[in-house]
Parts: sequence; structure tokens; C-alpha cells
Amino acid sequence: MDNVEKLDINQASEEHFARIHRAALVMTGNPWDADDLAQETFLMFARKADRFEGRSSLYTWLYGILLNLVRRERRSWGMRRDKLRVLWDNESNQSKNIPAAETSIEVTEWKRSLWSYVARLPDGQRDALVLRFSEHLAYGEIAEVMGCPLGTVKSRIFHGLASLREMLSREEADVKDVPKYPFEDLANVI
Amino acid sequence: MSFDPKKTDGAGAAPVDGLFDDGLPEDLAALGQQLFDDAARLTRAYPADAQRPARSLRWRSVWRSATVLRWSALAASLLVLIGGGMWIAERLDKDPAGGGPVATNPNDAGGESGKPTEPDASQPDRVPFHSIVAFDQTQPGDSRDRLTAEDVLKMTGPKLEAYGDIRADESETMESISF
Repeated sequence: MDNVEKLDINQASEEHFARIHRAALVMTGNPWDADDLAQETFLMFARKADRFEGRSSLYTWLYGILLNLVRRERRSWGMRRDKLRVLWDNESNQSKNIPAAETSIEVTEWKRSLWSYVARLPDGQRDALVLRFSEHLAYGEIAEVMGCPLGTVKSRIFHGLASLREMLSREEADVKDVPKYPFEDLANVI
Repeated sequence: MSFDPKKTDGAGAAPVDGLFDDGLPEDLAALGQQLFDDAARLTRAYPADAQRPARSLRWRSVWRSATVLRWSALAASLLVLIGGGMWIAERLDKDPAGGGPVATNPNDAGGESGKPTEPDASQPDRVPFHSIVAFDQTQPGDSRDRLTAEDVLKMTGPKLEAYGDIRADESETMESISF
């Protein structure tokens, strides 16, 4: 229990907040949610520090808290996302193609990154990819955080990357199908 | 976004050649490398504020203390109010036996001598509550006499004080008996 006695929120946040924030950022895609989730992780840590038995590293324990919080948030976002999708589908196609004037640079930044595609993967694959390629954890540590065997971690990483490649290939194909000069086509029709 | 392993901008990101190729096909390992670079780019764009959790905890602690103080003050006020009410009720109950000045009642014998006595000048502050509140002995024609002890007990602090003042004034004009 010596480890527990040494736990200090200030010290822990100085040492690990940046990495927890980074993981939250690549999972959520915007800095505000990342701030909230990272902060909530440490508040949870402060409340439940007595449950930390010191069998694992502190940061793997923090990642575990973060993943649980993200899953909880995604469940609550699901309903809101569905509502937004209905609104989005009711918009005209033209308005979809024109970027809104208030489109923030943050969203653009996020859309440019591969992590926006990772966010569409199932929870297990997404978490494994985040812990491996954003957080640079070893397979053993990822297994510890996710509470699953090493083989499962390897499988999730492999299939996650393969799905990602598949998504990108599909999107590339979709882009090729779009006429390069739509107005020329329109002129031919007229 | 098309996947191009050569496209990794990696500005500032440490090169991690061979880091993610453990058992993965080459293209997937390159994809992993691009994920790493993108994460580094996002992190540089939105750096974390490491002091935030500590600040939040401090505020939460202050807020919690303030909440505890507020509830404690409320509980203390309630305790004082209830205690005061009980004390007044006790005073009201004990007053006749306590020998305080009691107003003469037409049905009352009126002291040892059988005659009404003058109020004791040495006890000017004693208010003849039981002379004021004719509990069950209502006097016809006087609506104030319908007030019972329960009514007095239900009064809140300011009302009770006002009531006491009024009765104290009235007591000067009333005959009372002191023992």
C-alpha cells in the first residue's frame, strides 16, 4: 500500500496529464471534450485512488479510467448523434458541399487526421490502436489496460488497421467516381 | 483522405523506424506510423494544460467546504429556532405554578386574601401570559380570547416577539395578582 500513500493528484497530473489528454484528443477529435475527459479522469483518480493496488503502472490505470469514460460518453453521444444525422439528412445536398463559414479550424484539423477514421471503428479496435499508435504502449501494457489476452490485443490491432485501410481505399474510390468537372457534364446534358 | 505512407508530415515527431512493424504487414505498419504522426500533430496543435485537474480539485474542495458551511449554518438556525420555541413553550406551561403575576379572573378567588392584589412593582418585566391567553376560558365578546396556547406556539420569532410586546403593554392596564 506504499504506492497508494504516495499518490498525489498534483504530481500525477504533472507526470501523466499530457499523455491522457493526447489519448482523449485522438479519440474525441476536439480539444474541449479532450480537456473535459482528461480532467474527469484525474478527478476519478482522486476519488478512487484508494482502489489502486499498485500492481500495474499508474498511467495504465489512468488509461483504463479514460477508456471507460470515453465509452460512457460515446453512449450518451450516440443519441445526440442520431438526432444530428436526421437533421443532416434533411439538409439539401448543396448545403452539405459548402463548408459552413463557422467551420472551426479544429474540426478541419481533426478531419485531416487518420484518427477521424479510427473513431468509426468498434470500441475494442479503436482503443487498441489509440494505446499502440498514439500512446506507444507495449502489447503487454495494452492487454493490461484493456483486460484481455495478448493475442486479442494483436488481433484487434491487426484488424483495426486492416479496417482502416479498407475505409481509406473505399473513400478513395468514391472520390474517383465524382466527375472532375461537373459543369461540363451539365453542359453536355443541356 | 487517401492513405499515402510517404505523406506523413511528422513535423517534430520523432522518427520511429521499425517501431510498429512487429509482425505487421508493411502497409499496415506504415499506416500505424501515420497514425503516430497524426497524433503528434494534433497534440502540438492542442497542448494539454497539466495544471487543470489540480485547479479543478482546488475549486471543488472550496465549493464543497462552502456547501458544508451553508448546511451547517442552516442546521444551527433550525436548532436555535426549535430550541427557542421549546423554551418558550416550557415557560408558558410553567408560568401559573411559578407564581408570576396573574390577572384576576371573575371566577378566580384572587389570592390568599380573596382580593385582587396590585402587581408586584419589583417584577415589572414579568408578563402575565396566562392572563392574556385565556386558554379554555373564553370570555364572550372578546375575540382575542380565542387564541390558545397552541396558536402561540405556532407563532414564528418576529410574531411571537410582537405578540409579547403587545401583551406587555396591555398588562399595564390589567389587574394582576402576584404571589
